[in-house]
Amino acid sequence: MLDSPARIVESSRRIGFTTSDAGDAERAVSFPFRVGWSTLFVALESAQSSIPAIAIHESPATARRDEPANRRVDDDKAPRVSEGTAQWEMVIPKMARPSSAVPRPAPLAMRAGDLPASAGVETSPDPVLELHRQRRSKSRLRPGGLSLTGKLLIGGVLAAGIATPILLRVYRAPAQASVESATRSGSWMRESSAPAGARQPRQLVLYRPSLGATDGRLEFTWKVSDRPLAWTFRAKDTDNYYAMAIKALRPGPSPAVSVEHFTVYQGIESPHSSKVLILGEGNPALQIRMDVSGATFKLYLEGNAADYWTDNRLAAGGLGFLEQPDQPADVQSVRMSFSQTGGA
Amino acid sequence: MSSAARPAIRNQIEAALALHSAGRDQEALDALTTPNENLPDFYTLRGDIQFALARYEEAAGSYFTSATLEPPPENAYAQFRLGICLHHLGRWAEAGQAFQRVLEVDPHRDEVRLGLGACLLHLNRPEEALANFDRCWSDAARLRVLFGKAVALQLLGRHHEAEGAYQRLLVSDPKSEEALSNLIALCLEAHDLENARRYSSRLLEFVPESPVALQGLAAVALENREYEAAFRYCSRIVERAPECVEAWHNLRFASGRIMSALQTPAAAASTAGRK
Repeated sequence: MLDSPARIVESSRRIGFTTSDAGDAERAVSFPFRVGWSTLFVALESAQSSIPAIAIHESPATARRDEPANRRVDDDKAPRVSEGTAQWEMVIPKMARPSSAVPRPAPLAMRAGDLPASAGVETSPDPVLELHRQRRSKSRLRPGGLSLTGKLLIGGVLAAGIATPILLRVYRAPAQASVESATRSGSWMRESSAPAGARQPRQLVLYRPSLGATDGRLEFTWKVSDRPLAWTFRAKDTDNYYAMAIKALRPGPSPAVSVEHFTVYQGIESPHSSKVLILGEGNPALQIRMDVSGATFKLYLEGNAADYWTDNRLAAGGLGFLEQPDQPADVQSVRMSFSQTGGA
Repeated sequence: MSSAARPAIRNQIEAALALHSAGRDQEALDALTTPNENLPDFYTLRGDIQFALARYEEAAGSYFTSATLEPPPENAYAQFRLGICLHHLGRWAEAGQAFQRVLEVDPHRDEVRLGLGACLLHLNRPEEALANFDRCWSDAARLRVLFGKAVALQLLGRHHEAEGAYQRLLVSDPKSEEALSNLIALCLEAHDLENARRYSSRLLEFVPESPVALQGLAAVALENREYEAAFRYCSRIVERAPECVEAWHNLRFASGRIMSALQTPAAAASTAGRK
């Protein structure tokens, strides 16, 4: 247990000391009041005591991914505030790292139109869905940037067959036909959801192969507009999912957007937690990335940490978008990567 | 490391990990023998087990070794745990440096920043601590950040701002014992007796024998020359904390005042009778 950090504060006066007391041999003395701040360390204390049992024969698909030792340089900008989540505390021997890896999305430095420099994950048999445009191969890894750890990670991913990276050059959900054609192909599914507390019913547009996803990443480009965009993850069913939404509050060269997240659990929608962000100048389209890892969910806008929260109620479920009846999702360059319990 | 040696160490680590996961920490530690090769994960795991056994100094050594063997950012975990160990050991400056190294590679970890802020407060650098708390961003850390700011402001003598921060904190967490305790200290330092009494009474509502609350009430009573009340509070303090010499002293002082008050009318009456 920590000793309480404290500092003694002397009263500005000696208590009980009055003019009439001054001549007394005895007078009251001050109590040693202390300013303490042990509360500040409670999070760290609780974190160290919440180390979960670690299954040493953990299957690749169920292995946790967020051990610091496994982190890659391209995650440096990530807000790794675990707030008491166990992931920060877990230690898996290094030799287990390939099995604990989940598919890594492409480095942020990659640009559209890059030529494939390495087969990398693109050679995996995972489903790749493309709508509207001809599929383009894209480098999933920086040329020449493969460290040994990276090779092990990729090897583990390929060998285990858990990765399901998909690359959608364009997903334009308002084009009903495209979604319908995707649905016909069996890759996307639509479900209506009307949880208690929601302002209006909505449609869940889920990528079918992701339905059992545990951890993963969803990336897409959103053209800043006053039409809100919402996406979902860990969508177990129409009564249980996590969701985020973004909408522009103020147009112009430095637009303001609001970002909110909420949970639908057991058919009840939670209050929406929202914050307002001011964007930089001159970018009409916003790169959005959602990282889902264990109980921690992190949002990045243009590669910068924008929001995060934790919740451990839903462990697995699909990735996709939410659509209001008259507000279909309008996104581009959708990319997903995820791991699934029991392999994909 | 030879190929033959690696599986042996892997088995050793896995065995220790299994024991550690089962709560059998001493056995887990015994299962680990120092390998011939420097393996960061070995030292990290050993540190975790030593930490679980409250052997903070040894754990700090293990984490330090691990952090030295691996470059940043891979060593962030070991640095973080090293900081916690050093905090336990009261080595605030070194703990702060360890947290600082984590933040250099991972500036968004609010709990690390809170740990650094706590170290800076210990190091009597409240201004830097305040700046550090201001950089926290997450909602989840909001209340602790607010508390850290309040403490830093209090130590900076910015009592009004500190009190405001504590009050905001108490709206969300009305039973924050440490916030109320600090408020009592703040009010007494500012000679705000009425609020000192109010916060003390509030703290007593859910911590009935809180020494801080009783001391606050006793101090206010003494200041207001309410010696009978001061006597009662001091009596309760010494019952609970007999090592509190100030309470013993003030108990004697208050009882002396009460006796004096009782004797004065009697002496006056006696004098009048003689006349």
